[in-house]
Amino acid sequence: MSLLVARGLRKKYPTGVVAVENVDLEMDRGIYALMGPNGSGKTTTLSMITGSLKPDSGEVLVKGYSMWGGGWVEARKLIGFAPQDMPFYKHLTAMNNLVYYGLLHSLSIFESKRRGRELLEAVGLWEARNRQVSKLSGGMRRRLAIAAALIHDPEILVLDEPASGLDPKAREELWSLLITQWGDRLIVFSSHDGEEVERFATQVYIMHRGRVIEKGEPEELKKRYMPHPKAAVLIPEGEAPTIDGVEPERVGMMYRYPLEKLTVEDIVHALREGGVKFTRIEVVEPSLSEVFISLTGERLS
Amino acid sequence: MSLWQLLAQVYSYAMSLVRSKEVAFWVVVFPLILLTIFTTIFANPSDVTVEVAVAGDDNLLKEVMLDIETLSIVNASSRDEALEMLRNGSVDVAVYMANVTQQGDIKMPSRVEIYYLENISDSETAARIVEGVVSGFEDRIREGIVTFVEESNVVPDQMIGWVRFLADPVKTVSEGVEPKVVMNRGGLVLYWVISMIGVEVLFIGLYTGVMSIISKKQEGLLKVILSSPMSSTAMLLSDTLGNFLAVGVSIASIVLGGLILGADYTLLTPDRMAVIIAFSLIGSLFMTGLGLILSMLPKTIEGANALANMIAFPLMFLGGIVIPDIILPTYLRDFANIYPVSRLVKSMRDMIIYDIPTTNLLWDAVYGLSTAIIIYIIGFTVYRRLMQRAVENP
Repeated sequence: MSLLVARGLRKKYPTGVVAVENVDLEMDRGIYALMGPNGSGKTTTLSMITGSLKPDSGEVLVKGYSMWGGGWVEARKLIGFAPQDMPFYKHLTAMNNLVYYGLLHSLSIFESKRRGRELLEAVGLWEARNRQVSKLSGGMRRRLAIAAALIHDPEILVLDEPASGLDPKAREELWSLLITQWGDRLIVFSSHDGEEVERFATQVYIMHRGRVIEKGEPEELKKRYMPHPKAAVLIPEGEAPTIDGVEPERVGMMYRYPLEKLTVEDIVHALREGGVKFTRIEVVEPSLSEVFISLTGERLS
Repeated sequence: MSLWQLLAQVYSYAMSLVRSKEVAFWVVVFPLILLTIFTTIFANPSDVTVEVAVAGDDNLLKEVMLDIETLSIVNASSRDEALEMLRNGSVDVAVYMANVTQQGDIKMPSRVEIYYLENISDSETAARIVEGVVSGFEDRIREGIVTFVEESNVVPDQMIGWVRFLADPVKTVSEGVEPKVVMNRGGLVLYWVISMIGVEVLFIGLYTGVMSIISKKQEGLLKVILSSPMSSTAMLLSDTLGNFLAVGVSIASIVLGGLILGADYTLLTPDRMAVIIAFSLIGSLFMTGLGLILSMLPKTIEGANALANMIAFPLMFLGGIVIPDIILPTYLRDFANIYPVSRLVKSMRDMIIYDIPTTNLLWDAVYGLSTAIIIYIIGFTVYRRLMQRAVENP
């Protein structure tokens, strides 16, 4: 039995927007990413699998317990959720907030304090335990959010844009912490950063306009959709021509030629011969961001 | 639902009292400020003063009225001037002493006209006071006449009783009786202590109810709570318990403040303190239920704040909590009699100002508790629907 299964999830908001359409997920231990641009339905999907938003149709099973059925308490006990902007009582301290979250999850006050201490030490915030949350930096708050999501020791950790707003160093530290301390669990996160997903996820669900359009391991997806590097050319005016039978992909003012049959010199020569003015040409290595472009013709972010 | 879940909001309120200046202000400092203001203005025993415009020639009655401290006499040159002063609100009552004649050394009016403003209760009350003065004056004159007749022997002894009867058929004696807690500063401060407890019960309960969902939604906490194993029932009960904690802390602050300001706690025995706490919690439960019912209206925290203020401030003054219901119009007194918080506050006052036994308050307790439970259940139903809506359409 998979740890987390979602079938046929659908959500339409009162505005008429269908945020999520027929999404299926199946996840076991590892690090899973929902990757897509803003508005692709990632947050809505995470909200539905954590129980904070009821789907119009579909089901969510957590270790066999239905999120919306008779086993809803057991299902929620197995999940720790850190939304993008984790709500804390800003006038209370880091420890106060962890105790509060512990009580929400039926831990006693003593157990909450004990777990709080463990987690604050694990995330490197023990020295800041008596500091009001309003006085913590963004990176510290993200780490506190992870601690709060783990207070009841869940098997599944769900993080919505965990590194959003963090500088590269803080992001590295956060992921290093997650992987070393809790990498043996199921971690589900959402991101619009292809590089982050590529580096840390073992499985990816690519979302676009409310649907899962592809899934798999990052390397496998890159091999499938971008086995070779591409040359990206910025052409402010006009259009890029077909060169030796190879038609470019267009994304805005950028045109991409696969370097499977052409070389950069071939491309530059052909553009000059054709009188096409370009301002930049660069080699783009295979990446999930490029996979997204290949699948949708749109940028990831 | 576990006990620890129920204590979640209690814990956050308790920590907030310690760490949030804003929370500490509204729960501890604000009632003390109100108590200090009201006791400073209204807790100093002062005599009632009735402003009276008096027209007519000088006479004994006018001299007697000038000597009475309760009356502040303003001379008017004519009846019309006195009436004008009454109409423009310069005085409470206008008196015209007509046909002043001299009897020996004494000048007496044969007719006294007393005018007051219609439909103005203060003016009517003032007129009754002046009538009482005039009536008392008449009694003294009659007594003097009867004594003169007795001593002069002009009337046979058998007729003296009949003369007395003619002069004073019904002898009326009125005398003031002080309540058990004397209406000195200590008693007056005590009155305001109870009023402030009523105010805090009103505000804290109402805000808890109105803000129950909207504040969590707007702060993002609702999402996390919904993804936790805490049920909506547990969440509401936890909020209610947190509310009780805030009310309890507020009561302690007010009682202590009253002590510092000189309240007379002679009758505040431990069992009566327990009744005050119980009645306050019942009142708070009612207001929380009312707040829950109202919580379906606002869409933002700001809207919820405005709504709560719009309800709480009028109730504070018109529900008999701050202003004694005795001076309210009849329809508001009827309302205060029905409105559970007013009744509970009045019961608390009766208990520790007028020494009404706690057993006499049983009916008010039953009334308060049953209405509180009914309103809370209705509020809970509204709450459940709003939570359902929040889960389906955030």
